[in-house]
Amino acid sequence: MRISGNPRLRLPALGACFAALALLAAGCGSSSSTAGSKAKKGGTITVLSAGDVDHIDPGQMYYSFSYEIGYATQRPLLAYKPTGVGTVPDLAASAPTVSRNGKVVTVKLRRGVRFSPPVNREVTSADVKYAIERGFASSVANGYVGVYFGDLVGAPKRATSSVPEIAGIETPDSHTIVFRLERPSGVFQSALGMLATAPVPAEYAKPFDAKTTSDYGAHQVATGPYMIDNNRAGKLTGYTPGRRVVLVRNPNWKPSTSWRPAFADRVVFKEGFQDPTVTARTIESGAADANGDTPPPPAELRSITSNASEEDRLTFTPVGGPRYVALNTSKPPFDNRFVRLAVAYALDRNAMRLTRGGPVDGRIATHFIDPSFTDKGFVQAGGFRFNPFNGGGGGFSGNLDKARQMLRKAGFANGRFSGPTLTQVSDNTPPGSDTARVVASNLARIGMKVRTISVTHATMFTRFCSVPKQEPNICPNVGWIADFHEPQTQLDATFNGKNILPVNNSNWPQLDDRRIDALMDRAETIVDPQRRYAAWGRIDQLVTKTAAAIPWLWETYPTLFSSHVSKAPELWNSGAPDVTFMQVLQ
Amino acid sequence: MTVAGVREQEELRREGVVPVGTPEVAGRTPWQLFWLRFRQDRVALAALGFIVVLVLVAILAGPITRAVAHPADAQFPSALDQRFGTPTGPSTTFLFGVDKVGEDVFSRVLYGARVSLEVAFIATFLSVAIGVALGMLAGYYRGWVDMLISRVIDITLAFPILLLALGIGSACSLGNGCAGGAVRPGLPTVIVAIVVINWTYIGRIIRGQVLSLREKEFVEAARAGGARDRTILFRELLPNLAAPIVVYSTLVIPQNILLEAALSFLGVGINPPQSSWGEMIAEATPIFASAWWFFVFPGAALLLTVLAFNLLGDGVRDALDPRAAP
Repeated sequence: MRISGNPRLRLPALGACFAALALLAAGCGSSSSTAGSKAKKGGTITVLSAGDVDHIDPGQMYYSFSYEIGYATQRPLLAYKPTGVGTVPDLAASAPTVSRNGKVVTVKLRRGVRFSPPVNREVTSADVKYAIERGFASSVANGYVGVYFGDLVGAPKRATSSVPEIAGIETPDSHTIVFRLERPSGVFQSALGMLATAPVPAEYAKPFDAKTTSDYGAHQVATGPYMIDNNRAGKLTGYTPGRRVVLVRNPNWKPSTSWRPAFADRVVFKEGFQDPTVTARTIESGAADANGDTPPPPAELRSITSNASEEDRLTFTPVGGPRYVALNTSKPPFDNRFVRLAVAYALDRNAMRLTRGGPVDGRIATHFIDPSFTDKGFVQAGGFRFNPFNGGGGGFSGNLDKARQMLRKAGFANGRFSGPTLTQVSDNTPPGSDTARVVASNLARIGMKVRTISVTHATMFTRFCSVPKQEPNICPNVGWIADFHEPQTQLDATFNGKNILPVNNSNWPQLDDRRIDALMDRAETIVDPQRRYAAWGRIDQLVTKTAAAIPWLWETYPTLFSSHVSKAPELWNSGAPDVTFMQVLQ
Repeated sequence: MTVAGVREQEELRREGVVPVGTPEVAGRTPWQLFWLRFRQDRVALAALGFIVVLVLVAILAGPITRAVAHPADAQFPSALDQRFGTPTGPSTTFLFGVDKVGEDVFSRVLYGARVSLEVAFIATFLSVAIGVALGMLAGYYRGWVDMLISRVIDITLAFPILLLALGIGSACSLGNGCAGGAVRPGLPTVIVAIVVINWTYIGRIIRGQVLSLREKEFVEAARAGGARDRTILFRELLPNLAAPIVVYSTLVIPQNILLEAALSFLGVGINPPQSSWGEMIAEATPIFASAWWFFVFPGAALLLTVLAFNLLGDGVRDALDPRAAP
């Protein structure tokens, strides 16, 4: 998933606290500390966000903020608890079983889970089958089913005009679902935690899905503890795009079938809070309870952390993906690896991090797999020790001697770049615009003149960085968050040559290294976790050494909670408040 | 001779009652009279002094920042708060503190003066030049020429100024700029936006003046003497338009400085790394509560400069207008 302008992400992230975050250690691992003995039901939780959900249909949701709503209202086969980064069974009764050859995955469904009104009946395995199948229909056009469920036997290669029947999804009885894969997949099990596996009743949803663009989202039924407020016919009344999403209790949800406590009676997501300072102060004042998609800005963090009682309302969780500077390898001068290496050595990654807030914002990234992956690829990639572009004296402020040396190797005799002016496209708002200023200033140190085109975050991708034909030399504000806790989802979409697309490209450096591509294709099919993580760790190192992209921040995400509620940041979704675990204290 | 004396003599001369035997009267050009009045206006003189200093500072921004501060676009990340990356305030090393990326606010304010004055003079000169030229043509030839030019002026004036400027700014602040790369993003865009809007005001004033002047006897005399249009326009009419041109120019300069600041504030004018006061204020606004220096210094510079130009403009107008109160 593409990283947002503001750090706002979803991904499974480990609960481990980093040493560098000692300042904020209080925020780590203290989630839902007030839950338990004095558990109290009732009340309303208000979450503030700047933007809207990407889609209201759970079968289309991909943006992390949408998952805050999707997980409170829907039950995919697997889900995440706020305290962990690994999936646990949700609609599934137990962990999936995988055949020895890795090609058959069987899941048993929990009994007694029922759809919200007006459907009301019990969920069966056919509803999960239909939910995944409809993702392939062009009226739904789910963005990731092709990637994670495309290996199912009989899965369509491109979107189909109607909901297809996929032979590889079998439902031997009403509470068993069997997935047959064409090749072993290392990530298939984790993908069962995506919302595309949340059940959809075919008899109710088919008329909506038969339209050119499905409007099931506006008539969706829920299986989770909450549902988006709706009328008797099932039409949503609690969703006003860009304004608010209102969740109320799902009358058909049985606490005995779920590990979600669901304390509050009502959850309101208020949208349109564009100014992060206003968001933070509204929460501090108690008029709202948590930030949904925009973190408090550095100046606010500074004032909050200077006050012990307020500091306790803050949590910091790893985002789980790096921010990086992408260099366009498809054209000069960055088709030359030595020129790229010169950039890697010239960048002052500490100054870049300070534009977003400094150490509170996370550790300086030296490769791509996030530290929160620990033994799922991070350690295998060399951990914190793997730092090929070390600054002078072990710092991160750049190493100009090395940079000049690389330029000499690239053919610039005096170690100063003398080519034409380079172009970079960046955000036109802070902190992205500030980062771009630092990059331009850093590159001026080695003779690179950089012209900056400043546009909105969305335009930066849709018109420049994600369109290879229009791509500038440098995209300084890109980043990628893994969809879930598998290194493949960090590296494949972003660096595999086969994933360079004419539009919506996410391989921003346009890296097409035959050796790396082959290693990735092989690693995707490794079922044994240890061998798989080792393979991806090695790929991470190779990608980093190409300097096609220079990682500079393994971000952590601050979430601020009001004093009226208990803290419950979802670690897998980088601190997004898990409203099903928050309780209203007063 | 006292001021009152000068004025009295002036009026007498105007009325054709030239006192005999007062030699001072003979040698004074209108400009000498202007200066005599202007130099009595202490406030305007102070404003002029401030502007002269500002011009010197803008021209010498490079040497000054090198001597007492830091080069304009040098970044000092070590000067930022190392825990939160927030700017730090005034100190002996950084007189006005540093901004969000560790650049010296003092240096940026000085370089901002350069942008403001460039806009003030270039944009004003161009809009006045275009306005005077088209205004004279319209007023002198009348007929379809006047029709065409006046309607263009009417239409331009019908646009909301800031929205038109924003539109031009947005259209030209992307990529290679607009008009096939002729208008580059940044300063040229701002100047074009200002000129497109501002020439109309002076154009209209000049047209009115010329309409009345062209009927005057001295013009008829010139025409009777066989002067061609060009001679009449440049030799007869233009010198008589000097006063409104000077007055209007001094009054429009502060407007242009503010318009540049507004465009840069709204993100379609000057962009970093180039510094402009409006752009600095825009950057400083969200963090004003914790970094006042980043807001106050460029804000004060903008305020003082606009105030100085306004006071100077008032002084010039008073000095050129004999009927105005002293």
